[in-house]
Amino acid sequence: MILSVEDLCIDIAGKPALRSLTFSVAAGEVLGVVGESGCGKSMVNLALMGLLPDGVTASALRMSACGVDLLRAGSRDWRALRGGGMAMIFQNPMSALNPCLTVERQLLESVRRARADLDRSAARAEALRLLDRVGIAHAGARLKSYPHELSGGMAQRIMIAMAVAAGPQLLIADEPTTALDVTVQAQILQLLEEIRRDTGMALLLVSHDIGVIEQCAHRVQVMYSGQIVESGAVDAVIGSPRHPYTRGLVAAQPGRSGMPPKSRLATIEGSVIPITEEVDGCRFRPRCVRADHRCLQPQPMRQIETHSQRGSRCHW
Amino acid sequence: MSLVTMPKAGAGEVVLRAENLTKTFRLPGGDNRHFAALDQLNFSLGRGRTLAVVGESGSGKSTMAKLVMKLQRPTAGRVSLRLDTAVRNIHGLPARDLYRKIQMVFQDPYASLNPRKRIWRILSAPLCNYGRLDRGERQARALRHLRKVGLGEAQLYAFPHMLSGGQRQRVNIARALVTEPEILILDEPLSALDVSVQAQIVNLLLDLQRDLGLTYLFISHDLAVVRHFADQVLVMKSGEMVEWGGVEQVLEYPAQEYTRQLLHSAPGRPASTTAGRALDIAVGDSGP
Repeated sequence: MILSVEDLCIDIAGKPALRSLTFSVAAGEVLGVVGESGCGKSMVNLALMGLLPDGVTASALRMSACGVDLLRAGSRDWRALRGGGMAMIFQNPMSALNPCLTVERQLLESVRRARADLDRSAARAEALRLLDRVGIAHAGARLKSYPHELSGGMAQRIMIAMAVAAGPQLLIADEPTTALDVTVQAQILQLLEEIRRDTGMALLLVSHDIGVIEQCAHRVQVMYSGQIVESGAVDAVIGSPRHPYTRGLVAAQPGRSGMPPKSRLATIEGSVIPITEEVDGCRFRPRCVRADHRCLQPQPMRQIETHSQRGSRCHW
Repeated sequence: MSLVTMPKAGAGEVVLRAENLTKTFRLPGGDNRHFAALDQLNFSLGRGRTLAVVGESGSGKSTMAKLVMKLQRPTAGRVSLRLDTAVRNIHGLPARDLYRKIQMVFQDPYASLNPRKRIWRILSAPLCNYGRLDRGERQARALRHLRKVGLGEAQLYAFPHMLSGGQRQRVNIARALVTEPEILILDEPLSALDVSVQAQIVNLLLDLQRDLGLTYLFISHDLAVVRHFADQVLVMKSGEMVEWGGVEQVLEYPAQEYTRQLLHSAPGRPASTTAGRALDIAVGDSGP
């Protein structure tokens, strides 16, 4: 396992926000994370990268990445881990790049940290190779560009080049295509897939778009209000969802099979409960159409079929 | 520029028609270079129908909306609107008459409501252009339109920050409805919303169209929503029309390569070649 997390809990200002997350990612695997805004997806990523803001604390039974125990990692361990072990790309490539520095300055920073043995010209050659790898034409000229001269797709390609400069074993991609056009999105997803195949890195792909996850991931976990509510193989979870929330999410997609045009879409009434709010029993209960007295008890993750690694946090 | 025939409206009579609509911007630098954001676009809206406009960013969708809303002047071409008695060019039509017929819902519900005003004031502001109403009457009208979009008294005195994204987009729709227009320009009204909330807003827009006979110009990049929601679709690229037709015709049997490319890029299609799950991967001991 490249990444292994057991019973991860995150508190915001002393209040429990993310509750008992257990998951793992194998080498070369793509784990998709689906959830709506405010469910805590990004908070998990920050915890994995050791980037939680002040006032937010994480605790876990076990949390290890690339063989390093993240719970006991000192700043030296983190420095070694970020880049070479785990790297991350963000939703908005434009705001992730420094607008005042050229692509060359920013990319070379990653390259030289990853490869201290390279001299100036060798590092530049490596930067050109990386740009070529992520499909940027006229790499030499692009090195001189400032971020505002790039399109969104190009900026995201450069973020990917920076992230893979040190050959990470795990890439965390937090909504990497949400800010992009659909054709550019397809190109970026294709690129991530190519790099994954060539290098064998694992990918933790976070998205609110079920279509993106369906296309790219091997396994998926669905998050709702600070918990994982369903997990399993992508085809199984999206093809025959078990948890009422996953069912609602899948049914709310327009254009699913055989739906007459202009018919009303299935909806999930109400809105997501803020992750720091306490709820008696199941956190989806206030919005669930099937809720009954049993739902007043907290729902553990239940394995659906033995050996299937499929789980749902629901008694149904 | 290829010669395109004027799209005809569906069953309904034409309520809005754009002819040779063109907008060019002068590029910076003194050498008199121009950029055509919109190039000789023709389309029409049929009463009670939905025309979807799809295309990537920079294809001219929002420019088109701004010209139809008379927020910018076209470089050439015209937009004409059917009023009760006559068809008039919107250029030269008093704003008061125009905005009684046509209103717009914007993409970002977080940016399009004044954070310092309570909901009833936001909703009743457009009414100030249509005669003097006292406070009670304005609040009553605001409440009536709030109810149309599934909200109520609880939101009347709230500030925008107290509402969720979906509720704010409902308020935006109510604000557009307050002058009782016939045409709504919907500029990516779903893109800032979560999937489950998107479905709620799609349902609301469908209900309103059925109940009030509204005509929609629906700008979107989500082909799945377009397929479900629209009657006709206009595909744009670099300011020009690529293809136009009934939703099923265009999305099932696209005639143009660019449309096929857009359709192919939509995520989640099983035919896609990027599917990672096609690769066999040994997955280890991760229990649920």
